[in-house]
Amino acid sequence: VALDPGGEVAVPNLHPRPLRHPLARGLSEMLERHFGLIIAAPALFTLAAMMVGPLGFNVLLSFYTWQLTEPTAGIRFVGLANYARALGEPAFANAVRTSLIFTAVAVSLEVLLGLTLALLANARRGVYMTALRIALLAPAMLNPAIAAIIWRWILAGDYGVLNYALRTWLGIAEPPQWLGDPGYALPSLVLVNAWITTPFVMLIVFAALQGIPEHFYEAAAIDGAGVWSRFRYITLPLLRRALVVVAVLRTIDAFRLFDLVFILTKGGPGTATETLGFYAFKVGFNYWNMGYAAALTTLMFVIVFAMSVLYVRLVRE
Amino acid sequence: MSGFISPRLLSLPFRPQLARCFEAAVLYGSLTISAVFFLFPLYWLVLSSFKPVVEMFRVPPTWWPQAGTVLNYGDAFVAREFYWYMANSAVVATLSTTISTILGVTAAYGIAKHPFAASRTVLLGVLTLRMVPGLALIVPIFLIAARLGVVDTVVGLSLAYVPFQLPLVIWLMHSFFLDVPTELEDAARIDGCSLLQVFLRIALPMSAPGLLATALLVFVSAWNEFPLALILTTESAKTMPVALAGLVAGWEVVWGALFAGSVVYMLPLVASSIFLQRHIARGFLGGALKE
Repeated sequence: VALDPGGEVAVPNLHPRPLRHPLARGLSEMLERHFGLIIAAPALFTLAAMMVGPLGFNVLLSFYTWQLTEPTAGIRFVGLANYARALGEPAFANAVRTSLIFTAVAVSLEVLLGLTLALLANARRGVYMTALRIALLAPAMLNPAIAAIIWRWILAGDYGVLNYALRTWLGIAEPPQWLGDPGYALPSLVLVNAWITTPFVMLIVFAALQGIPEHFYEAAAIDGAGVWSRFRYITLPLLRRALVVVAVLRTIDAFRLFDLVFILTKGGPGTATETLGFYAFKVGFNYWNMGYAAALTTLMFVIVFAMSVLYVRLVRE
Repeated sequence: MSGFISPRLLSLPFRPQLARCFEAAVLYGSLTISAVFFLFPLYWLVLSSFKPVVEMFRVPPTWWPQAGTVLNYGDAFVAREFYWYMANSAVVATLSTTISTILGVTAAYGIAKHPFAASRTVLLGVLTLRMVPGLALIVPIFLIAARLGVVDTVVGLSLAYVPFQLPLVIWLMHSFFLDVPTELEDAARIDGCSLLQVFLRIALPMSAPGLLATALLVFVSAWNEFPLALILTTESAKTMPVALAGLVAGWEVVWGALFAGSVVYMLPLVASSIFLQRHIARGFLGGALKE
């Protein structure tokens, strides 16, 4: 067998026998022993260079002040000043509060709604159920930017179809300005977010439901368990893992919310829908204060990470 | 399998037959209401895209276009040349998906089947990287792109997507590769296959459905990505979502072109979701249920 200069692993080694040269044999053995690391290396190197490195740079940047609108000021080290500023600033507190409220309400609503829909869709078999599941994939695959555009059109106060329906069919004379009223803007974002992601939650819970063996329910029925106790003592414990994973994934995304805010409200009215993600974007790319923006995104990552760890801890117990 | 609700949804004090009818009415009724809630906005988008501007704002609204027109499509794709942004989106999504799938699949196989000293830590680290907010990387990535001279190029944007897609690919494919029976790989080894051949000829074909699901999911995420594209492109590499959002950003929203562009942009994904729904669902589920 001819030795491939690119490495022994590429050679079709149909009759395994020791390679002639001891050096070649040693190389071949080394390649085989570290095969996992060798083929994983390109991706890990890419991640290190393009994610871990930039992330570290971002953390470093958060200790500096760098105002792009004042090019002469340059980049100055300020220690923890950016973090001190964040902790003392009402705008930051407002952004964190808005993000937390949005995340808590949106994730609970989506998980509850997705669970309910999955349970209903799992109750019967048939063409209707299959069609429904396929149809519900559409919002799950939709571009969030397009979803936001559709809903901006539907929720528009004066010409929106929702307010038309409320006025004509429900007789509400002055329906709310959904996106223009500080009291309704955040709930509207929750609604739109639920529209986008509930189908995703439903699909996952549905798959988990399909995995529960039928005879569990038969046994429970023989024991005379009612609907509620079957749900409480069979379905829920067996869904727990899927529900937690979905909740973690949804929390990570909800806390980073940006697209919807950007297209639907731009953080307004006032700062009613200014999430942490949008606030960081505004500081960085409207006020061009790069150092402070870096501190904000670093804090955001820390909060998301802490929440995920908390969830995982909760599941373990 | 009939799930937890059957044989009876609610323990109603009716006669069984009546209870069954009531149960079916509640079940199908609530599912139909949900379907309307989830599908009406899509219908409304497609419908509005075929209305002339005057009709869009008419009160009461028309539920079917009275004077159907394709002028909005003309405005978006002829006057505003949106096909250019469509092409950018397609190139960026394809290129970034190809790169991250090749890199990620290889790495996932290495971690799953030939674990090395730190592979457990690497896997957890990869999971942690999924939580990194895109905004935290935008400034460094922008600086790197500027240094390399690839700001506002499709290649630059595709490369910027790769680190965000890699954790997803590695995580998904890791679980799919774990499902490949090791006995089969050992048998191929005994028959004289090298490790690379085992990977390419045994493990990869056996995980083809998972691979397809992963690639689709990554493609969808790239097709739908917004914040990075917003900041890393200005004109020549602008993707469709950014172009569409640009129609909202000014004082006046250009609804007609916006709707027409949105319909054309979502069409490939929605159409393929009907044919590929099994695979797409598998991708979603793999990401969530397998670990």
